[in-house]
Amino acid sequence: MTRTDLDHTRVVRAWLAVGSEELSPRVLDNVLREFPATNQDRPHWAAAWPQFSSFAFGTAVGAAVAVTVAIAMIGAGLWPGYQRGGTGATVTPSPTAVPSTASSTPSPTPNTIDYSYREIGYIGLPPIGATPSDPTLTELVETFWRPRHGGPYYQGAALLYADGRLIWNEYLPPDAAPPQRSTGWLEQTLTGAGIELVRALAIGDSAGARPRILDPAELPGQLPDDAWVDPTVRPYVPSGFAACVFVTEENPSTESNMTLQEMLAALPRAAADLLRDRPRVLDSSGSYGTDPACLGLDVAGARLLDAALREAGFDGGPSRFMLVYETALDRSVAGNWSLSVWFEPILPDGTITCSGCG
Amino acid sequence: MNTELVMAAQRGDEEAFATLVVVHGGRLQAVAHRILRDGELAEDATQQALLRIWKSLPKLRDPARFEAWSYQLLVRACHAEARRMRHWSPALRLVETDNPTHDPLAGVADRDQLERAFRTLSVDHRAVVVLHHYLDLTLTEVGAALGIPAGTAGSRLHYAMKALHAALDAAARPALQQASR
Repeated sequence: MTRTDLDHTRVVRAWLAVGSEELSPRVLDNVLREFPATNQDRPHWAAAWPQFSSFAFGTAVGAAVAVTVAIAMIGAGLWPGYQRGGTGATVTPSPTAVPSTASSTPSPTPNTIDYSYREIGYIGLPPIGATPSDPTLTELVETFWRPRHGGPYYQGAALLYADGRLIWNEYLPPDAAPPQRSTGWLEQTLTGAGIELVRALAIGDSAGARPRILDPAELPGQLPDDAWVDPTVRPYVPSGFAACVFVTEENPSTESNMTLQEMLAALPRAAADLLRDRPRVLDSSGSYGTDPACLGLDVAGARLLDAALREAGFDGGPSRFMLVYETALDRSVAGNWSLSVWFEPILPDGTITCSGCG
Repeated sequence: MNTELVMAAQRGDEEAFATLVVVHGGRLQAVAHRILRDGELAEDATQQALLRIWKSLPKLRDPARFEAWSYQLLVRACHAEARRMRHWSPALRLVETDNPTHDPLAGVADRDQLERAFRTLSVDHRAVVVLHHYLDLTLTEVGAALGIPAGTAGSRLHYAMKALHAALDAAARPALQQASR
């Protein structure tokens, strides 16, 4: 018996069908990092106002008015997060360590805190092209809590690392912008002397079980210039995220006994495939349970997981403190169970903490 | 393909383009992998193609043609990677068969013969085979994707399949001889 052309074609098609159809994380990461720095080639017919080809005339007029207003606001210093020169926080999305020299920026006085840092952090995944904080791994020196002024509660945390990075967040006051949210994780860089000064400024017994108290927003008014490698407050861009998968019931005191494999099986297949066999990341806060299923992904992998959950119809997205997704589980016998995936940024010591627990 | 996303990316919307990369990038890499038969070269070709797509996107007059146009840029990137392979990489790796149960019709001998025969084809011929038999594009669509007349796509496909069929016959011959003994 000999093969016909049709048989041959079937064999070729079957042979071509073998293999992956997924974009590798390396390519995704490289493309997402490089394309924003690449200028698009605009043809002459779309060079001046490319939007006009698809916008209605009224939209174009509106856009022109908006641009004029924006320019006026920037000129008046009213544009959120935009600051021309001066001291304090500036919007700089790509943190890069600079040599350890004294900053020439004069420190503000203790009573003049510049609150513009509240507008620059990222909730959820960093924007495309943002450069991860460097180096990836270093040692945690000490954790501080940020005090809530006039109250007994804490509002955020500050993490001090051996290479001088001070990474911190703040929960904005409830009256600032409802719903309550955090600033996202922020980053500044201290010198070796600055590390010691900050530790000396913190309040409380370092031998105590609870973290000591420090308000990073006040530091520019408290530290000398040579305590800073870079006092600029920048968004902290992690090199990866832990996807913490857990099941909760409406009654928060009830804990699920689902195993990691069972939780992964309840996720959409594309999401489960991304998480299967990923390493567990240590939760230094202990907030995700005794055996947390917090699985490490690089930023590209986290973007894929984000897309997979969104595509599968999970509720969520960037929330008040982080990227959060949730879906109801069909567990009618046991109660109203929900499966949640929270994206925690991996910190420079390779662990996560609870971004929503301040 | 969502033409609104394409139009937004044409206007320079980075989030829209990132979504296109996530949604469409896997398929591009799969096509590159099948044309080049090498995972690393396919990754490089896909990366080059995606960056070229971003750069040239405003020049695409019909957003509905995004997918076909992207394959054209991908095949160009495959050409470049194939040239690099000739210059720098004499040791070729076989494409991974991570799930061999998907090709029940192809035995080991078939696969080996197909690999060898396919590698003797030019990138242009391989591209036509992959677009037609893997993506199920019609010859008119293949021609449109590659910027060649449908007739040229047809003749390239005929030539390529003839070579692959000959390879499969050669693979079947020893087995037949053994069976007839």
